[in-house]
Amino acid sequence: MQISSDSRMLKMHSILFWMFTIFLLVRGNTQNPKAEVTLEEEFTEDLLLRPLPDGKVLSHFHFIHKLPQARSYGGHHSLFPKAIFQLVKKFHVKEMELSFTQGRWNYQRWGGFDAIAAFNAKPVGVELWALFDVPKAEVDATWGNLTHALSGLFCASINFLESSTSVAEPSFSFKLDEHWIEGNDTCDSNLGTEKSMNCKQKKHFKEWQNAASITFTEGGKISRGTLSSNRQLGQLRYGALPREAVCTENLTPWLKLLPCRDKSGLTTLLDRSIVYNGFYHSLRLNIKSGQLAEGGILLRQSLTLVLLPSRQERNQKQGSSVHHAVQPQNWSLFSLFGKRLASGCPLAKSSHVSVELVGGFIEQLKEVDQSTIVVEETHLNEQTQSLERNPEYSVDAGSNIGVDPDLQTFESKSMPEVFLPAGEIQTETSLIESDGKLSLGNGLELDLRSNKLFSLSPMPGRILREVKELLPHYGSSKKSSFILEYELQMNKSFPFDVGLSWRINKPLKWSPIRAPFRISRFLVGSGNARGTITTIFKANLAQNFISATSIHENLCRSLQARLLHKKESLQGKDVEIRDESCSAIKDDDAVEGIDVIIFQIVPWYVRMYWHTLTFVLDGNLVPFWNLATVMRLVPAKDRQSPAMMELGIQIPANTVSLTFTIEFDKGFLHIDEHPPDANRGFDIPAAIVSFPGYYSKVQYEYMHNTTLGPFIPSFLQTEKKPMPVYTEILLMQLATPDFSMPYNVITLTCTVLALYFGSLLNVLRRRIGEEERRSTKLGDSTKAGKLKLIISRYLGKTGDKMYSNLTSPKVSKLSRIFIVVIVAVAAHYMLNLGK
Amino acid sequence: MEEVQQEQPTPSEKPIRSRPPGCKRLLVTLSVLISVVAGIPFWWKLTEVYRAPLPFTEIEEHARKASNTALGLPCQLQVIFAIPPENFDEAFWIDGLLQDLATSIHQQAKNIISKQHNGSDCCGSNIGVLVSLDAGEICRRHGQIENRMIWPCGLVQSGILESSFGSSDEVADELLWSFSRQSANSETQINSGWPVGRDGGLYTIVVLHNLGSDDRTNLRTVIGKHRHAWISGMNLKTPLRKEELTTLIANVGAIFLGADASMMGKVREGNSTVPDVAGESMPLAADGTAVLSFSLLNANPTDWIFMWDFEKVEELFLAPIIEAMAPFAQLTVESQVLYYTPKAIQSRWDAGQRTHIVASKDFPFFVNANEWHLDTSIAAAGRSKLLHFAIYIPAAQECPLHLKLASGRLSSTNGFTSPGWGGVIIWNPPSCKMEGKQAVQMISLQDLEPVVEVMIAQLRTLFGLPATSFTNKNKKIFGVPTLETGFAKWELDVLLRRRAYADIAASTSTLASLSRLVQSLPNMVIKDEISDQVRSSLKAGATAHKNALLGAYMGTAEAARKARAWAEAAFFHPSIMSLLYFPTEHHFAIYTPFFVPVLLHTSVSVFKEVSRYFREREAFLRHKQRT
Repeated sequence: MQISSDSRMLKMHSILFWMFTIFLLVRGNTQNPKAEVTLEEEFTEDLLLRPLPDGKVLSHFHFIHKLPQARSYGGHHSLFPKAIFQLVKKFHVKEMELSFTQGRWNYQRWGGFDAIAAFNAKPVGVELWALFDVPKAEVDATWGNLTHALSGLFCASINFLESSTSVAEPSFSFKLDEHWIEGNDTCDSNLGTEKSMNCKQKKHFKEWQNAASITFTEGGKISRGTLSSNRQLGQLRYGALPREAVCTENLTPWLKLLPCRDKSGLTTLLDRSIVYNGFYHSLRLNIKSGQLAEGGILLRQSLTLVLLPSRQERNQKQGSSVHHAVQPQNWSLFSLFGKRLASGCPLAKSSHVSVELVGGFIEQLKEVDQSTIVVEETHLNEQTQSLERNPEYSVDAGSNIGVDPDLQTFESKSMPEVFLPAGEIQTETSLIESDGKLSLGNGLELDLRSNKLFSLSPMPGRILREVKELLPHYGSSKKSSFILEYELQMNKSFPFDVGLSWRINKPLKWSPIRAPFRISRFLVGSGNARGTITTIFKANLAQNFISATSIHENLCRSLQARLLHKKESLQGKDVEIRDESCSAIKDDDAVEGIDVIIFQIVPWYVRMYWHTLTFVLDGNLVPFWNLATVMRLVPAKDRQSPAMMELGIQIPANTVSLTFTIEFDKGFLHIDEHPPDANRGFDIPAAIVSFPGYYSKVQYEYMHNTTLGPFIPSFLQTEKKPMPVYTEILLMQLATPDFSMPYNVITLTCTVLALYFGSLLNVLRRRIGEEERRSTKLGDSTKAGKLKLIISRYLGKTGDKMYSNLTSPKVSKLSRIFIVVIVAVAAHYMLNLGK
Repeated sequence: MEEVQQEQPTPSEKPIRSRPPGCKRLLVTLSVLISVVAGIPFWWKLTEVYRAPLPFTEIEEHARKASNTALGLPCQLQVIFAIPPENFDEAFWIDGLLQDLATSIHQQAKNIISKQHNGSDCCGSNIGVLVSLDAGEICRRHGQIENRMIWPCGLVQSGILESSFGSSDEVADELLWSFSRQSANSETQINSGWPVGRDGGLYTIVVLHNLGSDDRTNLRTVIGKHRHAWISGMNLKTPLRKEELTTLIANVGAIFLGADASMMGKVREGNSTVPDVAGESMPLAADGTAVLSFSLLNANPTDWIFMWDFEKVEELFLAPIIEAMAPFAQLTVESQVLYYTPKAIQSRWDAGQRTHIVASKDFPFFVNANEWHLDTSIAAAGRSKLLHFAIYIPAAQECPLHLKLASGRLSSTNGFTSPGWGGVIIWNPPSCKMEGKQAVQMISLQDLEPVVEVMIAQLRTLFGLPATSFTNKNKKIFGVPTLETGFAKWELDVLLRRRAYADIAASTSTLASLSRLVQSLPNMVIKDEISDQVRSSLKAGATAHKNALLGAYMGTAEAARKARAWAEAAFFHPSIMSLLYFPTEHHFAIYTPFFVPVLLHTSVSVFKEVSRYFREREAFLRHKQRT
């Protein structure tokens, strides 16, 4: 490339010519032109703390790197990690997720149906899936290279995922959101809000079923890769290493991707011994390329920890560990991590610490002590409150992060009909300023500054409240969750610590948001020949099982209330109100049950009998196709690929328990196919059960006027994703051979063969008649052979005189020892000679 | 044995037999023994590992050839004496003089090369000299140059000399270059059959007649950025001090051939702690690629954060260099900005210089391997080579940070190199005051320019060239600085030659090691692939030799590169790595249980049968005798 500007040439020349002789002048113009500062790359850090029902505290670190397309040419970045950029470019990664997990997420106690659990509850070990943007023929090679690159990058044995025996190509069960988001534009034509919603919901379901059923009908013989409608099929790979141990050598490279590493910012809290002594620990790395509005790459890194506050802070109130009813635990950043936050990362666009108080917790607080909660006059019920928020202050997540088109269209297209003018709402609902008051709905509110329940310090900068969605958000509690937000850039009072200490001494009993079912998977059967994999779904009826119909009833009621309200406010105007909406919903949308998709990979040496798939519904055996809606099976190929099952079922409403079993035979492995420590057993990766009808998406709004600009906690900046639940990992005992077996076999067979050979040769060779003749001729007296002679001598009897003269027992013993020693030395020498 | 001994007590009455002993059983036992013995080669063949035949003799021959006769890339010197016609003295420039000059320059150049360097990458034996006299209409030549584009006569007539040599060196350089180009264009049509890369290896030295007195102060040598140099200030009219002239010309020639001391990295800028490694290995991977990784290190971002627009830097400064180096090195560029990267050593405040100082003895400890995550590149696969260039921005508390040389001066470049690793440059913010926290500042291109120049100089150093263009003030030799590319063409030739030689040497030594390894490990499996790779490597090596004889620089370098790449591929083939552990104990454990009992049975029975046969035969013979 030629630079032809004359002036430039001259200048360069002079500089080059003198650069070794002239000292670099310290220039006078300190003011660098600020206009040049175009930092389009973005990095944010977030920490969410959530007290859990069992006294532990969930800490969720979330870091987001955004690299717009414009900055991705040439690969020169100032914040975005070079390694990840190169990875994406080299392997054409469209989307990828890698997680390292230690400990098992307790879905019952810690929640299984919120945004955190949906994305961060991961199976033990390593899980990796990637979607490539390469021709299908090259996907396997690219996957192999990617696993190698990642194992180098993260110091883990991810390269074991290269072999096709542990990798599957899911079609419809995985990344289901693609199906659900596509193609809902056509449905919005009928304008009624509830109608449109219904329509969409149904369409989604249909679409999913269509996509899936294509598989089944086309691949009546159940073969791989028949789902032509899904363009991603064949470009997605999924693999899991349940046995991978996760430790600091994985955390350090993960931290290296952050601009501040663990030198400043939220990551300074991460003391290795605390992180790895926690109850749950999950490192996650998610890459999306071409997903931002302008293309580019989005990198999310998150670390989810479940920790118990240290003992000093838990003080005298050493609570009994009764299930779900423990003494409230005091906690603070210091008690969790042993240190306070000293600074934020100076490179982060924003650093936030948030404390989430989930709905169930708020509700419990209300029950514990009504007296502390101020009753405020209001006539609006909860749903309408949430709907009548001022859109100006709502956190409209959809607008800048491209999420949840459903909600967006729902609001933008349909809501204006029913929405009230902003001014009126303000007068009526009196938005709470950031005065530390939580409005709990039904006119109750909780003052964070002064209440008899607990004290929180310091006061949050802003408070966000969950927006109750009209879409069936399954299992959510009746109360809204709150997020108390602390912005660290603004907060000059470092060191920063946030904590919650209790003033009451009563046990609190509350539940997190749970999935509709509690799912566990285990092995049945004994012996090394066969067994059964059983998966049990138990309905979480207890508190938050709201059947779909009840959701719709709620929806109807809220809509009616709103319409009524609207009627009042827009008096005189002719507004068409459809009162029949509720009944229409009920008729139209006869909800039969809950859709569930089970995705399961089984290694080839577990030989599944697919015809033995059975369902037991509340104790009764039901025909398979009564529940199953769609199924895709990929049978295993020995030493090539695992068996994969994708099964869509519809569980009827009001089901208490469902058992799903399948029988298998255990295969035999070659001796060199066993892993080290084969007697421990073989880990079978976790199955993924997802609920396609229900999303992890939650919306929050500010409870008060804010001037700081919209803030969306980064953990909420997620795409819509059907709720996944990971089952346990199975540990299967196979018939493990004795590894010295080859030698035993060799020795045994050789001995038998040698015996056979020797006796055959003797039979062929010996002359029985001649020997008999000779023995009779010579007589018995002198017949005592040399052997007999020796034996008798050893026994101490002096036999033949000729020998007794020559040798004594001592000499013979000595000679024996001598011979043994010579043989041993010779053998040793020969063996050493060979080396 | 028993039977034999049983018969011993009665030796007097030896048994006799009337019939000859049968040999049926003897044959049975013998046939068993024979089949066992016959099975041994078969068993041997079965247990043998597969070893593809390797051309051991060819490898040895190749190695011998490479060590004896160097890759004969030819270099040619063309010396032009340009004398204006009015100053031309016919009597003095007799025919014999040119020949005389040619031989003596040749001899001198050889002497210098052999004195300075025992290697062969300076065209050691293959130097041609052409001396021509250009005095207007008179044009004489002496010497032989094959397949080359020699400069035509007419330099004096073209008027370039008068017009240009009064002005700056750069202009003169460009004018000479354009003159040679013109002539090349006019002659290309005539001789179109030249090998590729023909302009490498031909160096022109123009000796200009100076009208002034024979004063030595006017004597001046300038080395252009292409492949020519000129010597001015020499009076060519009066009888020459021939010895002096030829020495001077031969010295310039030696510089072109890369044999000058400074070109070999022996004399270096004081800021470098580099030992002499030039010529031995270039910082390149086996396949001639390297990744230049540029890192901007913000030692303490809480003080200030600096960023750069590296895309522009690459576009403006680095791209031309990479393009220029393409014939012998495929370089790629990547960059990153890192934060919280303190250096590993403490600086101290020097009140006299009013700056923080790092002494030269601490340079080796400057790089902080724990905190500087310079990282290997994912983009570069396999055994690739990374060269790091770290631009270090000190924290505010040690802001004017300078490197202090062993001589006590502050380093003018404020950087140092580490051979094979890369270079470090300290960049101090223009003003060491903190101006408002956390304002991200962009380093402007003007500020970056000197840094980039230092980086280019470091790159030159890493490749074994002097940091700047060649200059020797004592000998009054000056180099024309190379602006865009950073490397003069003749320097690139030197590097190309070095690389070709190094490649050939590496390929032969790798192949020799491979053959030694293979011969020393009889249990090793050798796949056909390895054999193919070895053959390809040998073939490429032979091609390189052939091309070198033809004088095709590019072809030689390419073939040498391939030879090395193939050799390395063969040596690092994964199947060689996974040599099976097959100990002697294993052999014993497997073969003893069967073979020992079987062989024991067989040999004992054969012994018994044979001995019985002879005994019985004796008995029969005795019987026969009696009868």
